[in-house]
Amino acid sequence: MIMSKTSKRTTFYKQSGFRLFLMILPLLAMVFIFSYMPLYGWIYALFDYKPGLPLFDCEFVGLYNFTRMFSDIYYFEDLIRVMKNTLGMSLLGMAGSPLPMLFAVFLAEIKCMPFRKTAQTLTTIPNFISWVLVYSIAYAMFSVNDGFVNRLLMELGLIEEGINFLASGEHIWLKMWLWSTWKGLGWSAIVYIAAIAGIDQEQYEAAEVDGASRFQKMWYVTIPGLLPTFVVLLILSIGNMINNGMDQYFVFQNAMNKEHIEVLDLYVYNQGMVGINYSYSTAVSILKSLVSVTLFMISNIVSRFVREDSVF
Amino acid sequence: MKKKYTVGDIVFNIFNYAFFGIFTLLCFLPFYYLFINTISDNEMVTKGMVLWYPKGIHFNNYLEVLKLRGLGNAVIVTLGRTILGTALTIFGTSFLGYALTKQELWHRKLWYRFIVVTMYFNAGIIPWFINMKNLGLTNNFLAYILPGTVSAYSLILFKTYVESIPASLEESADLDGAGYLMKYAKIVMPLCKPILATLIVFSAVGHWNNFMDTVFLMTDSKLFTLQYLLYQYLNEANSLADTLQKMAEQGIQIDPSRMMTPTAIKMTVSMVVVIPVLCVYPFFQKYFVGGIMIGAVKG
Amino acid sequence: MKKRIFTFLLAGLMAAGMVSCGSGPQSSTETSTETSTGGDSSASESSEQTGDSGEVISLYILSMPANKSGIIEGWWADDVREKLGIEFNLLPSGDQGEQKLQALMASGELPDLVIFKDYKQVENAVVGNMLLAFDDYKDLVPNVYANAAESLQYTADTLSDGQGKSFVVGTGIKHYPDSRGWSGLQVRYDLYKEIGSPEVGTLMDLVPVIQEMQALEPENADGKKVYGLSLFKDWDRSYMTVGMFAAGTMGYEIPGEGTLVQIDYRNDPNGVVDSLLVEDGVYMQFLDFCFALNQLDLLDPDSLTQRFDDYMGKVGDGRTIMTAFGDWGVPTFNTYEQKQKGVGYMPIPLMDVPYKIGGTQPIGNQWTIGVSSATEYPEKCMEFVNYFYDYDANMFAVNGVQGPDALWDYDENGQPYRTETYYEFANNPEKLLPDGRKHDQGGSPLTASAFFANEINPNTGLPLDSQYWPEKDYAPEKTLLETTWMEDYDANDSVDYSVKNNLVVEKPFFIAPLMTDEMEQISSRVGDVVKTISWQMIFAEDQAEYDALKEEMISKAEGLGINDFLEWFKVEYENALEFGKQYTE
Repeated sequence: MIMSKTSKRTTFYKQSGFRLFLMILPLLAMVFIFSYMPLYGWIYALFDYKPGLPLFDCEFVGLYNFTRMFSDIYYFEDLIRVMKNTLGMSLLGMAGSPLPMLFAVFLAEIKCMPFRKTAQTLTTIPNFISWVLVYSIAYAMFSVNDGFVNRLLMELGLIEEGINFLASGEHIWLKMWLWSTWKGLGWSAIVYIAAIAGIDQEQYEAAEVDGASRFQKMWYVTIPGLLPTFVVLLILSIGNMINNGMDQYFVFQNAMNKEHIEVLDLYVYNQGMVGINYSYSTAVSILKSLVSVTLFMISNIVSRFVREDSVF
Repeated sequence: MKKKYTVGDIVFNIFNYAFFGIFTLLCFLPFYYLFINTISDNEMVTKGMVLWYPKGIHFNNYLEVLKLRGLGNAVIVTLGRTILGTALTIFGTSFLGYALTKQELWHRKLWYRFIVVTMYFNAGIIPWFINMKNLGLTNNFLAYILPGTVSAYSLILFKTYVESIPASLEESADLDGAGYLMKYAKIVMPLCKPILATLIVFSAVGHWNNFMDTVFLMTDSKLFTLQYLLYQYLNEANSLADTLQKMAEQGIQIDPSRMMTPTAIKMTVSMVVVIPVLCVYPFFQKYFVGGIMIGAVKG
Repeated sequence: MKKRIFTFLLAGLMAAGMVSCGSGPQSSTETSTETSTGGDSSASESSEQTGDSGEVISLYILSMPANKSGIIEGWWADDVREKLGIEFNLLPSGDQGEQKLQALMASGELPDLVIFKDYKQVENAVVGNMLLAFDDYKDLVPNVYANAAESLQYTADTLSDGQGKSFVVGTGIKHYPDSRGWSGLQVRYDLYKEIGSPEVGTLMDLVPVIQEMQALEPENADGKKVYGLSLFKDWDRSYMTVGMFAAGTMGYEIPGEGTLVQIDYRNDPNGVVDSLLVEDGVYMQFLDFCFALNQLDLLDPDSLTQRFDDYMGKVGDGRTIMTAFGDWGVPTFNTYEQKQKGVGYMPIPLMDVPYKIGGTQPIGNQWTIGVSSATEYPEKCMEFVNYFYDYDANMFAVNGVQGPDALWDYDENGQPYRTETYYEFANNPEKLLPDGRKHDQGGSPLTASAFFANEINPNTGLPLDSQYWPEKDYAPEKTLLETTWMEDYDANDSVDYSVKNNLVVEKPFFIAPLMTDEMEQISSRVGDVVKTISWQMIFAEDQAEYDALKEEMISKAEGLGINDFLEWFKVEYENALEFGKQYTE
């Protein structure tokens, strides 16, 4: 604001704002080249594309690939069920989104440094283990015959026959949520740990002078310091509500839990559309992108009203 | 200057330590489980007999992985892409993020959205491949580092962080007539150490773990990455199943145990992936501790 | 000053970005050939280091069925390098193979050699002019024309986009029906003997037999529970894939690749096509069988959640009475010591149902090999294809290194035989060859081979695979398990037994019809229902739940169009049979 006064006198292209723009232009160009240029591929959705043929030798089908998604009644029931699973698990995930923040806040309260560092390092490990291996671990723990848990329960005499934890379709959303929380909590907390490290120490000192207790400091200093990051990440995750990936659900799915575990991404995969029908899967991904961006914008607008400031 | 602990504090501490102790154990146990399986007798592993402690200890699985052809070269390529790629990402992302905090930036909001939106779309693998090919980025080391120059997610985190820094800090430097670059390098970057450490960890881990670009873009074995070599081990099951099925349809049944990688080696591979990360991560932790001392900067 | 330099640098970077961006789609062919040339030359440079002269050239090969990648090494690769001066760089396929092929095809250029996995891929490559026709290189591929003439004819007729040329040639060529081999459903033969080898007529008759056998061995040596049968779901696509294997032991065929039909060869050599879900059909029999086992607590409850590896481990560990209609994991259990004691899995025939054996396959299967039109070395590629279709080269590829001290050799009459060294290695699986490999390592990693292993080499009059050659005196005696079985059934192996006793039906030759988009859609939807409910059925609590689920499955499948699929398949199958006849007769 101080700048604008001085720059008004100079010509437009010499204004500091424009100079700054010129400085970041190469970086914006990189974004354009690597993220926007491939988007010309969306045009494939309008053709009956066969890999190998030049695009314009393929039959032009207009919006058929889009209308097809909705014209089919058999899809409809499935779609409802799948969307229910998708949104259900996403909402569960969002309900758990303050956990990494709380994790970081409470971790910061641990004053024994070796303990804290060990906890901080080791809790990130599950993030590096692929879902396929997570499943092998889950199988080793929970299988009926050899599962550690079943053997333990049987030895303790609590049950007589092994329980089929993995094949049961009960509470599957919760189970999936627990697995992903276990895998991701420590890793997602890193951002908040960094943010805590960035909080101005003077604020704590000031609070201490005011006689704030430990919890009051957490509540009135730490959490407000983390809130901007939290809100930003939450808004981003709302945009990702229908993209919950498929790896996790793919490895855990079976005939007994399929009904409740099939999320949109997995459904598209299970339907065998990926790879077989390139144009159709492109159409699906375009729609998903549009919905995501719309959701993101809506959440941004909502936050503008609630916080009187849009994040993006 | 000893502090007094209230009862609440003590109860809280007990619960806090207990929680983190248990959760850390829960996170570590599977890793331990994988580890003892990799050094145990492979046959016992297949039988699911290794649960608490290693049995029939040997290190052949690790030696097997070390025997991979081109391992040394792959390590160099991986380190190269991780270090150079991370450096470029950190520079590109943080400078752009910093610029986007400046109200006077020409069309600031537009550019910010221009970047953020890229998180939500994906053109698909074929257009991506053709784009990279047209850019001359097949069989080219630059393909590993250039596409990551700007990471939207990291940029958002960085920008949010910079905005939380009291503006007064930068204004004090404004008066000295410093330009953007000077302020970015001398004031913003030092203040952002914690978030930079985070972004470095994110980016480095991303580079370290990525193998899809090698699968699609590289045919020259000199450019293969470590992850890619390891991925080839893990990759077999799917294609093998297909092959077996096809063969069975033709009346050939082969025993795949000799074609398939033993489970223990698969586990070894994931250990090889995780261990370096675990070794490096603690070095970044000092940036996660403490807070900014405004006084120190002022002085 | 610093700032100016920096802006300058950035501007340079930007300019570079813009230039490369400008040379986008319009000049794509130019840029791409340049880059690929660059890649090739650097690769051939690297290969020069290994060869003493610059004669060894490096070729890229993409084999869709393969699961290895990188520069090919081993005795097979050495032979190719010596004879042809070629070093192969195998491109990764595996779970990304499909997409990788699509991307390569979209960019308009295939690697030097490609082994395709289905005809659809070939069709697109031919239409896109990405393959060279063998017709234009006839002089270089005499072996292909001599040994795979039917296949060339077939691809010229059906896969040439009307050009009448052969762009690919099929692999797995087989001019004779099966007459030898171990296959069928296998049970713990020692236990089977112990309960008095009761005759088993149908699959359902097997249930009490298995129950009795399981009672004899409720726990394995490690004290783990032994089940009658353990299953896995890894390969399920439109039905429980284990059911497909079961069908083969009962004179039926359930075609793979996501179909929804069964073909009954029991009474009609041309086969009767019917729905997979027909009452009393082979698939339903299979489900009934699994359900019956589960009711008796004989079906492994982890079947649904375990993976194929786990299944193999269980068989290898003797934790099932019968195998899932295959021999995966059996060699692990049937060790030499076990077999000497007469313990192990062996096939038993179902006496009331015939066993289906593979018929001839003169045009090969859907794995086909072709040469890229973008290759720089068309002659070299053709030379390789020629080598690939040479009978002697195939004998080498199947059996390994040849020579008096190697695994096999020719005797004074020109007949091939297994050497003493062979048996030394075969009985010591851990023993290493001088090059540090096990005797079964170092072969071709392409997975596809030109001929079927029991194809007869006209140069010797014997099958390619050494296991069907006459044995020399020094061959070690068979184990107790094998000799007992051979005495009991008075046959060399299970296929031999079935053939001798007229317990076989021969599968006629046909090429599975390509699914249209519409059929693909029906297949994936119905298949989803079938495979899900099938699993629920076999784990149903009681008969009532089983029947209800069965009804649900059938009505859902009908609603989703399984009958349309059936009608379509019937017509296509008739055509395919008819069409196939002109190549077999």
